[in-house]
Amino acid sequence: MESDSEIVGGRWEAQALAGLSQQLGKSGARLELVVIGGAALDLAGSPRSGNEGR
Amino acid sequence: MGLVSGSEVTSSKPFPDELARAVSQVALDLNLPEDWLNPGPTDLLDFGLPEGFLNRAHRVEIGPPLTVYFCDRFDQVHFKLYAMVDNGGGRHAEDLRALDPTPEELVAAARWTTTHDPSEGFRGQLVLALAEFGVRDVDIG
Repeated sequence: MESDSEIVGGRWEAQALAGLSQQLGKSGARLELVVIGGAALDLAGSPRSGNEGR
Repeated sequence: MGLVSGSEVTSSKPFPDELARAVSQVALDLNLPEDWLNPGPTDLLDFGLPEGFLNRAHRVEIGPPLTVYFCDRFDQVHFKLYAMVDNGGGRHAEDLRALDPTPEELVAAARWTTTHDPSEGFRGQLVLALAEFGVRDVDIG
């Protein structure tokens, strides 16, 4: 069974998502997001994923 | 990137205002590209995700305001095969190889991709792509 940290990906992704959660909390929003592509494919900026979407 | 609405996955394009603002702020805070989080392949939703997608997805509660579902390997095989055929191989083919899909997974994925692109041209390329993975003479619907 994968741990949550393995699912979320590398360090920057985990940091970014934690930051996103914090920001959403400030605005009182609650969201459930779905990553449709492969691991981190919707996340631009990492050496692996680029910004190519699918 | 999609949004969960009840038991459905809906398009995130464009991002809701509160999400767009939060993404921008995180980009500033962490020195990331403005589009570090983007709608990505939301167009896949137009013709439907693989059956059972959300049930297979890995749910991670990042914090009380944010829960993220990461797609399962089985569904990644679907998306990667589609991308490989649609875009002509390249890194998608490499990604698909890295997933080390079984013939059964590839056939399931192939059937799904034809619901997104039923054209003969796509089907021809799909057959070639499957052959690259040693899958031949199968019924892809």
